[in-house]
Amino acid sequence: MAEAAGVMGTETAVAEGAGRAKGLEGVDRATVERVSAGEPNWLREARLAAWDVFEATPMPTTKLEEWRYTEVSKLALDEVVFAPVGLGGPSGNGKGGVVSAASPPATVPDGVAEGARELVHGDREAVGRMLQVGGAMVYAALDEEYAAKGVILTDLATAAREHPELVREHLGRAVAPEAGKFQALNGALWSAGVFLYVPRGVRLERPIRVGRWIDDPGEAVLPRTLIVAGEGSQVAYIDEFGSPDLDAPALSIGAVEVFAGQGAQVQYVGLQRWGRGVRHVSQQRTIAQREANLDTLVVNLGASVARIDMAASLEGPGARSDMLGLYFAHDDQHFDHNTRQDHVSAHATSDLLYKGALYDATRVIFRGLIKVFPGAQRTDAYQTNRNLLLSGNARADSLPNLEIEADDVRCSHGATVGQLDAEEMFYLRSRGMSKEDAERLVIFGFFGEVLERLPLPGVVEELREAITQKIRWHHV
Amino acid sequence: MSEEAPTTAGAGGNRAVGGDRAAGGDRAAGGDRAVGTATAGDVSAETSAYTRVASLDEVPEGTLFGVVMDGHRVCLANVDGEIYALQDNCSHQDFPLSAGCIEDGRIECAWHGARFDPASGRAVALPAIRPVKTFDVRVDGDDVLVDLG
Amino acid sequence: MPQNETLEALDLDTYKYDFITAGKPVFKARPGLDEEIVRQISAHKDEPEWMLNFRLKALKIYESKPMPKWGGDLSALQDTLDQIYFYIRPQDRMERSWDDVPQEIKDTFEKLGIPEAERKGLAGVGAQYESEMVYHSLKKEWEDKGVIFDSIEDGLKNHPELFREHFATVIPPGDNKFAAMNSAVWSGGSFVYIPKGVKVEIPLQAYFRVNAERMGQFERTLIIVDEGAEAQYIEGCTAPVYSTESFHSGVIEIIVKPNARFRYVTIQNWSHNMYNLVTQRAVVHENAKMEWLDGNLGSKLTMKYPSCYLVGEGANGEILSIAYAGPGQHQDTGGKVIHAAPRTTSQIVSKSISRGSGRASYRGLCKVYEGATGAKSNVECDALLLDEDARTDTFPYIEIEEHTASVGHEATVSKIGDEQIFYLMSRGLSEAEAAAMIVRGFIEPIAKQLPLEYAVELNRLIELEMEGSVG
Repeated sequence: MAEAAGVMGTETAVAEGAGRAKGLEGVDRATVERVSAGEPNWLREARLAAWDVFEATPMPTTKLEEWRYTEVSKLALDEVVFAPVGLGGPSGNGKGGVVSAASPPATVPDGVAEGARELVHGDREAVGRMLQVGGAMVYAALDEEYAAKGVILTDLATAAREHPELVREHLGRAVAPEAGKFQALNGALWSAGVFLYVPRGVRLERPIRVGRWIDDPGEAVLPRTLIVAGEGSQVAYIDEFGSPDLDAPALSIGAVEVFAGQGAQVQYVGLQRWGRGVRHVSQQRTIAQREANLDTLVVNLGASVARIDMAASLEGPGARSDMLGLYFAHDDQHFDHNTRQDHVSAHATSDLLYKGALYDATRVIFRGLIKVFPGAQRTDAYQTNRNLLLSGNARADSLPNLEIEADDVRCSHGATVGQLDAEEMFYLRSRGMSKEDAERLVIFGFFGEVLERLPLPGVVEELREAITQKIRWHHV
Repeated sequence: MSEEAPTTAGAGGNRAVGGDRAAGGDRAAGGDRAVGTATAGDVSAETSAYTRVASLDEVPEGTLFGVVMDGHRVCLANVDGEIYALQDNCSHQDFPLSAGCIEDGRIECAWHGARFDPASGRAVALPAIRPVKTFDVRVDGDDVLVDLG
Repeated sequence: MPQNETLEALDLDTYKYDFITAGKPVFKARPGLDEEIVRQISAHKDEPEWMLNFRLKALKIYESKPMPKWGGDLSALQDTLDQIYFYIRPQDRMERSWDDVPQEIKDTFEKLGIPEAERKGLAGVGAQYESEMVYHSLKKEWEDKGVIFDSIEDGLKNHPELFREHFATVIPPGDNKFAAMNSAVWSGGSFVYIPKGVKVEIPLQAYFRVNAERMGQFERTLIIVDEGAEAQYIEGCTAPVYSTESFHSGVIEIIVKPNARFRYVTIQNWSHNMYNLVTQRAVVHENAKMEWLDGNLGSKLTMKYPSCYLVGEGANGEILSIAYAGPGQHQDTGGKVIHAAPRTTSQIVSKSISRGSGRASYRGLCKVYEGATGAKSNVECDALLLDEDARTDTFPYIEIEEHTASVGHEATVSKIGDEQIFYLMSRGLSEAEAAAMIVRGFIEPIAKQLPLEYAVELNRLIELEMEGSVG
């Protein structure tokens, strides 16, 4: 269906508003230069270098192993306008707006949609908050207490000017343009950037929450996140993506880089809850130093198409990464997950658990790789993917891979695909439970293993609600 | 070698010879629910669904020809003077069948060599197992018309 | 299974089958592959025209397909292919009596224990030397029941309809580059037909030997197991060690009809300079059962993934795989199960051992098509690493379109345990014996499925490979 829409979309290949053409046709080096206006030279050069890589890298096809199950046409690149900040306005749809020359205000501006506002307020507990609307960050606030301790939470462009050493040392190191076509595109054109720095020994009691919002169809946004956690620090960071249901495609191509210094404890959570119509591409890598704990959770509930790359590099002895994934697809949603556990250092541990449920004619892919590099002895690495097929047309592909080049390792992986336990359902129904209630109970039993491992009660509650809502929709 | 006649029962719909108008016939496996069950009384509705997709000389005998129709890829095949229309995606790995060839009266996929019976769409050589959809086709003068159903 | 076999009994510490037999072939094509070579092969076999056309078309497909970029390192393969002989005809005709086989060829197989094996009570024996089957025999008892066990060439000549109906329907030339190559130059291999309801209780065996230097062997086997029939087929492969690379690319097509059972056993022990790129596939009909038992010990690089296409309701496929990758070897093996009918079941068990710079990779596919209701599949892969240079990979593909299917995959990687070795040494075993015993225990679940002689042979081979491996 996505392709059919794609074919129709090309009929109207000209954008409204700013009159910018859709797709990547008109985007060139000059575009990159304009996006980079006002930025330090080193950053402009990094963007241009990324652009060169982008141009030299062919568009992935299904003949490429990593894109075997997802046609790039599903991303609807030709149906969205690539108009980053400084060109067509912050929302990228030609509506105009403030060019981001200063750091975002500490209050949510008027006129921001209620849905966007909710992403960073309401009952979402946090010590720091930022909000992206369209292609720009429009709000950034951090509790005084932590600002005084040296914590930095601001948009990435501001950080590049004000803390060039910190940003320069890390930006593009975890997600390099060379990693692929979309990594390079983000490296060249990113606009909605977040920079979080937690100094050595500083521990944040509550999370940082960042909301990312799209209002309109036809927008292409390129968010970027850079998190640097100093030695012995502690922080939980939650990215949440939301939009209304859109009647035509919008696209978000993001990059996330997380660095945990020695002994730091860092959690990164990405809650993908876009409305229908949105295409979501997110390339993420965490790098954990000695004795650091760097845990991630990837949630895919929304969007029409989501393509997630999540990699963990374990670069010091004693480093540990718990990698959790939770996805629940309905209608014709298509989720493609690619994970890596790169054991560069000896004596490190990684433990991955991705679980998902599928309704309707959905398609979900899990491709995971545990890579143990030569010399990475005493590695413990585990990888589990479990899929629950809830209806006839759903399709799940699971590719849990191992590449082991050291011998003193404990590695295992497992994958299962199965259906609701008929006996369990029958038992619950015989106790007078409705089909919906019985199904909800079994599905929560299935997801419980992931939710229990998540030490963020607020997020767990939010996920429970979202899952319940999905089951309810299905039974309406 | 059991050389199957291309006109087996229940698969007549996707075959057309010369100006011969193919009767409604059964749709192949996977045929569309809405139109595929049309009764004889719907003949006019059926007729109007035929769309010209090629001229006859674009599909010489022994060749395949790929067309795109309402966003659907359709493979036309001329096997011994008879025109067939099938979904232009191999059921094995989605490769266009029209890039292949006709061999022993079967359509052979160019990528991995899977073969299909042109009349029924049935897979007759691995690595394909599942059939490909077939479409009603007719030839009107020099025009090849296809009904996607 | 013998548990206390000592290494002393085995006087060889190098590759056991490294001997060269003198003798002149009756025909040797020039090295390399082109249309002329294909025509020569076809002419030597006095084939019907359709087969020549089939070969020529396959050659075009072969030339059009790129060298695979996955699996093992094939970067130097083209150089090898330019130099090897694609066809060597060792003698003029195939013999049915062992006495009539030329002496030097007989010597080879005597050394390999082939007639001895036949005396042990196999139902039939075939032996291929270079490009042709030199010997094929089937016990009268089975011949009388209508069993056909012949060279593939005689299958084509004597049973043209049965042959043509099935040939290349399981593995068409276009399937992959090396299936195309085999289709163009195939020579030798077996044609087997087991009639309805006939149960051949003892195995049929084929032995493949490459003797000449820079030789390419391309056997083609077609096996049809008719309704309710049962049989077992065992193949063994060896070659001497030359300084140049050799090449083997077989195509094995098997059709297991409703309610039939078939087992195909391979003990591959090619010399360590052999590229072994094989396509093996079975199509399995209603309530039939297919078992692949695949032992890969030899070769420089093996890429081989026996497959079961479960197309009939209730069909069952099993793939048991053992791979041993010693220094310089890469075993890229595994299996594929494709569920295309309701209530089909499958199991893959893979055990691999890597030592020195050896690399063992499991590559597998489990696919369940929509409509294969209630399909069940289970995959287990265990890798054992013997030292720090060894390498192992696991690349499973699990593709599920049917929500009532139940599919599981598990893999573990472990190191040979120091504690186990220490314990066994404290009980008086040498370190090598201890390591060999642990490896034997590791592969036992598969080895015990083998006929006894083969289980013993497998253990001996592994012990040989293990010699001097620890310390």
